[in-house]
Formats: sequence, C-alpha cells, structure tokens
Amino acid sequence: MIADEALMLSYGKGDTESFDVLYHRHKGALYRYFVRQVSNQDLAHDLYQECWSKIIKASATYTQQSKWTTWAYRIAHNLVIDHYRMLKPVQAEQDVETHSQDPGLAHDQDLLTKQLKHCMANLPAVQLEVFILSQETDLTLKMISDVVDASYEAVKTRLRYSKAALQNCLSKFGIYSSNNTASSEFPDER
Amino acid sequence: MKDDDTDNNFLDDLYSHSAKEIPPAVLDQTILKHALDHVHKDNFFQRLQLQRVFSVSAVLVLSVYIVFDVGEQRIDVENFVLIEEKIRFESPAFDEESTGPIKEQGLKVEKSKVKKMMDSSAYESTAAPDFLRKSGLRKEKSIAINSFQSEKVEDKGVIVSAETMIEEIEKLIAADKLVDAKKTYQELSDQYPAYRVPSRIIKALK
Repeated sequence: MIADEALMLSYGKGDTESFDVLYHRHKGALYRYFVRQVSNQDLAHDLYQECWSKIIKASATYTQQSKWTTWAYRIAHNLVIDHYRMLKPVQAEQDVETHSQDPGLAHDQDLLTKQLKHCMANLPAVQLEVFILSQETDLTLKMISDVVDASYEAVKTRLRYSKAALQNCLSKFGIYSSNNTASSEFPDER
Repeated sequence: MKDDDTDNNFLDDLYSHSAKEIPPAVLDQTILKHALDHVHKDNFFQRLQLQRVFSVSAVLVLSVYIVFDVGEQRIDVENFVLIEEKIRFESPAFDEESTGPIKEQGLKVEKSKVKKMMDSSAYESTAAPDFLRKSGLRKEKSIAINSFQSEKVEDKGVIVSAETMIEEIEKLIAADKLVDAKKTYQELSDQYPAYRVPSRIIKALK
C-alpha cells in the first residue's frame, strides 16, 4: 500500500489518481470527525468540503514534515476551532430512548448506534474530539496531542475520561457492564 | 489506536459498528472535481509563469545584445575612417611597417570595447536592485490585500512566511484595523492551513 505522504506528494506533482486513492482512503474517517462534532449537518458538510479544499490548495507546498494524517487532522481541527470555537456539547437526539428496560433491545444495532451517539453527544467537546481521533485514526496519543495542540498527559486524561463517561452513560441504557458482557455481541471486525 | 490504560474493547467494537457515516456522493464528486480542476489550473499557471520567465530573459538577452552590437558597429565605423585616414597620411605605401598604427588602433578599439562592456555590466547591476525593489513592493502589498491577490502573489513565486503574516496581523490588531487583520488571517489560513495561530490572535479577532 502506498503511503499517504507519497500519494500527497504525487498529487502535488499533478497525479490526480493519487488524490483519488487518498480521498477514498480517508473520506469516511474525516467525514465522521466533523459530523460527530458538529450538530448541524450542513455545517459539518461545509467544514468537510473546506478541509479537503485546503488540503488540495496546500498540495503544491506540501512537505513530508509529519505524518499526512496528523497534518490533515490538524487542518480539520483548525477549521472546527475557527467555525465552532464556542462548541458546546450538542443537544441529545430527541428520539433516543432514555432507558432500555428490555435487554433484548440492546441487540438492535441501530438502537446501539443511537445510544452511543447520544452518549457521545453529551461528552465535552475536547474529550469528544480526542475520542473520535483515537477511534477513527491510527494516530498515537503523541500525534493526537500534536493535532489538538495539547500536552500528551492532557490527551491521555481526556481519552480516559471520555471512555469512562461513555461507559457510564451506556450502562444507564443497560448496554454496558463492568465485565463487558455485551462484547460478545460483536464479531471482531477491526 | 489502542489505549493500554483502558480495557474496553467493547467500546471500540461498539464505535466501529456505529461508524457507518460516509459523505454523500455529491460531496465526493464536488471534491474530486475540485482536485482535478486545481491540478489543471496549476499547470496553466506554471506554463504561464514559464512563459513569463522566458519572455523576460529573452528581452534581457536581446537588449544586452543590441547594446553590444550597436556599440561595436559604431566603433568599427569610426575606426575604419581613422585607419583609412592614417593610412593615407602616414603611410602612402602599404607595407608590413605601415600596419603598426593600425595594430595600435586595433588595441584602442579592444580597450573601448572592454569599456563598453563594463558600462553595460554596470547598467545591469543597477537594474537588478530596481527589479528586486519592485518585487519587494509586491510582497509588501500582498500582505494586507484579499485572498485572490494573495493567490496571484503565490503564482509569482513570492511567498510570505507565516511568521511575517502573524506579525502583520498583530500590527493590524494593535492599530484597531480588525477588518484588515481578519483578511490577513484568512490569507494565512489559506496559505498555511496547518499553522498554529496563537490563541491570543484568534481571541482578538473574535
């Protein structure tokens, strides 16, 4: 597999196919980075498009100083900061059930997804960002700290708190327990 | 990424199962088209820039050639007349000895050529700083103008460093010119999207 950095340099020299590969490799993760942090979907789309636009614009001057993912998410982070500096935890979705009495409902994938999103929406913005980056990218904590412009320790703490808060929130739905009894529901796809 | 401190594979699995959102096809097409257009635009500007460089260098070479060429002709004509006159007055009979003054004259011509050459090189050396001064002016102008002009400046190969732009923004903020400061900030974020702008500047611009 060609490295992201090589693809970007190749695109900078005029090879559009390299960009196609790079785009399809990262579009999902980058899209979710915006969608899950910004409550307004239109705004998330705008920011996503703007992010790629900036990546395209900077392709001619791109130098392999850091990992491409770190560089790209740094751009994404700057955009979120610019357009959503006063980001508050987004409003909980109205259609999410507050408590699941029937354990059978936990098997419903859609419901699980909705409940996770609901819990993520209640996370503080800084914790949410670190959690998304840790899940969506292969960046190390050090790289994430570089992206979000925070210390390694701060990022580590944010991640720990975010996971604890999600576990706590999910346990209220009857999904999560301390011994991870529900984990057998998912085949190991990752 | 796996965190060593936490043992919550369940959360990771749950997230990976919920991470199904992908951008709409329309957005994909728009971005890919933009990427394609950008490459074509770049090639066009590169060609334009090459043409500009070639034409400027051709004009320079031609002007230098013309200066030398005209100079030589003038000298040759004068020299020819002088030589003829000397041959007539000093040496009516053309022999080996009579070519002495001609040789001397030839040396004089060579000297005058050298002088001419030195003059033209002096002209070039005075012309060069002027050109640089002009390009420097462009650079200064580019800082506080809109992003379209900034792109043009980039195309000309003059790149203002991020630090310079930050200094400019700080000056504009200090002078209470927030509109200009925002414009410069926009340029900065366009040219250096991954640059870490100090939070005091972002706060001042908010």
